[in-house]
Amino acid sequence: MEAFVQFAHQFVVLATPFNLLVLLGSILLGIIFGALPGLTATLGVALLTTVTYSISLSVETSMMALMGVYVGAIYGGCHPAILLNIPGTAAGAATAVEGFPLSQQGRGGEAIATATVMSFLGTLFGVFAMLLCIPWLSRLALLFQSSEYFLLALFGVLICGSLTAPDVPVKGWIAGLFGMLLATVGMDPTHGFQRFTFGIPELVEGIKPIPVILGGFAIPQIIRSLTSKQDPAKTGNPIQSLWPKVLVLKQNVKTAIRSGLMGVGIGSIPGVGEDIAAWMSYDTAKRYSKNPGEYGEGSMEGVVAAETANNACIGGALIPLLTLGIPGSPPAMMLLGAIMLHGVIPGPRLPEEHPEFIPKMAAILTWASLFMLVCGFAVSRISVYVLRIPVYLLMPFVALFTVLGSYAFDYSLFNVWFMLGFGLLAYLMEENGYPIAPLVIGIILGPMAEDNLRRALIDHQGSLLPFLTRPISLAFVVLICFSLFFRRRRS
Amino acid sequence: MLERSELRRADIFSGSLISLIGGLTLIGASKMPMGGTYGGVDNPWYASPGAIPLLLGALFILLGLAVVVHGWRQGGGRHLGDGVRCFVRDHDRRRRTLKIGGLWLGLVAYVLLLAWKPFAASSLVFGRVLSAQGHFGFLTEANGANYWISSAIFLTLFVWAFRPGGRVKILSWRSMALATTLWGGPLLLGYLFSVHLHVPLP
Repeated sequence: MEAFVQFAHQFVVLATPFNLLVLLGSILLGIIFGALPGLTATLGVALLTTVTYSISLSVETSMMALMGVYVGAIYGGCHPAILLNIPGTAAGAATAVEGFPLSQQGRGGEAIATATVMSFLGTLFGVFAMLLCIPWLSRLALLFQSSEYFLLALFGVLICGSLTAPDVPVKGWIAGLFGMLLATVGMDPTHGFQRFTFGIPELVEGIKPIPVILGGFAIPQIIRSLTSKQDPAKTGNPIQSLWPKVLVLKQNVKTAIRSGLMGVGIGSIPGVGEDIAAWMSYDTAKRYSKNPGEYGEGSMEGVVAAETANNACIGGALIPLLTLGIPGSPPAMMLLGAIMLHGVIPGPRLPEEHPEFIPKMAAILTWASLFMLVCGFAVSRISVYVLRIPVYLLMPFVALFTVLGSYAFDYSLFNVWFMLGFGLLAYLMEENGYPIAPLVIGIILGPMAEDNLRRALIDHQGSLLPFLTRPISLAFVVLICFSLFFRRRRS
Repeated sequence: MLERSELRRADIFSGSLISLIGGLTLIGASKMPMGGTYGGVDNPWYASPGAIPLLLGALFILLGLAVVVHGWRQGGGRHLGDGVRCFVRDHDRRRRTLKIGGLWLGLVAYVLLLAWKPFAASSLVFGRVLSAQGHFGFLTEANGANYWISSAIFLTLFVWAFRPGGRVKILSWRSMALATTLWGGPLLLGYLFSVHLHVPLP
């Protein structure tokens, strides 16, 4: 209950004109990022992180900007998906399957309105889950010892590898462990020994997350977009009534609640993003639907399921991020880096060190969902025009932003070179079926894993027994075994 | 991602490469201090800087071999030499690879221009026409001038290289608008970054 009171307090305190203006701008930017194929929420958050850090914005204003882009981009994918059958993001692809046929039937406006309302409700569902789960999970996390932290980080890397590998899970694990290996580059924190620096002074401080994320997510996207066949934007179907039907919403309450729960649950699994949430929720809705025949021909229930889940996933992804320091989705990975850059360390000590931070994040997410609702309706009719920006013009500008973003992090051209090299490596890895998300999560969680493993071994004179005798550790060992043998069923 | 048959063939190469990286990591880790004391700190094997790299190196060798075995079992080993032959014969694939290589080298060339500063001297020209305190005062600095010209050239060449379709009329409203975007875009970004965001340009 106290969390809800704190949340209400922060909701009012944060509503300064400057903060709301920043939020408005970032929501619009996020919707553009989500709507344009090739630009993702992760990339939006990554690019904006360097800007908020460089201009020394306050933590809450920075979070307003970053959460705005995150929420806007996850939602923005539904516009091109429904109107043009071009999903702006992977999460929007499930919406396109049902949304575009609806648009062809002249119900595009209704589909966008329904998607907007359900995205709003999905985000609020995530906020509610955050406020409900975080205090409980924070208390549990305080019981964690070094061995549990190590196992948690390892579980995060491995489950992310299992779930995001497009080919065989072993490739996902290799990517995650490769990230952990890259995290060992630099000066060892205990002994001050330089590892794998090859005499390069810039590597002594270790590999920085921003060039890795920009290189890993932006460069492969630029390469793919510019080298594949570029289709000129199709003319969208006209939008008629931009209003959701109350009856349709009422009929889909059950689907919305189930999708919200699935979104939060999937979001809280480390590194698994909104796209998987949307697809799994869509698949489940189809399976339990009273009218399965409508699916593929334009089912509003399908739109409701996908859009509620992908936005509920945002709140879900913030739960492990804030309580354990483990990001729940790729954009949340970037958010973790941004939060740490601003001097706040997410984890079980967060409620003690910054008691206002978690309710603040919940309040920011609520403001973001409200602005998304308003902006979503406002830009629906003009969003099609944004989609006419050709890829060959857009992507060179993204490349320019990527170079400036890597440089602006600490004014070093080494970061830009690293970003370019890492980007090419990421592209080659993806082409060979090795996913990038576990690699990035490995780099972020690597130091936590190593530090805690060494501490646990020192505490127990090199014995591995406590990893199996403590109940929480044992539970993580079981989860890790599960993640190793769990094979994702792809629909 | 590659097609399934090509992927299985590539698995043999990528798995071998991962095992090789694992081996090199093991060699690197074995050279790290292990046992006794280091820097005045007790250094048992489990607390040494090489412990995690050692563990990861060993895992890479095993997992790399698992990828090789998987690729081999799925038929990747049958036509191992076909990959190179297909690449030489397949015009589309060769073209796509060259396009990807060219694109990446274009990005490298852009960063080289930013680092090398061949257009730094133009700051003197801008210094004559712009006041240092004005909106575009950043152009009178070596970094600012070099950034703008390098970025505009990069954007123009990239758009020209990756633009689908046939000929372009240079003297048309469309071309003029495009040129304004390509040269005005980096100017606006430079202005925002250096004047409002206080971020120095590369």
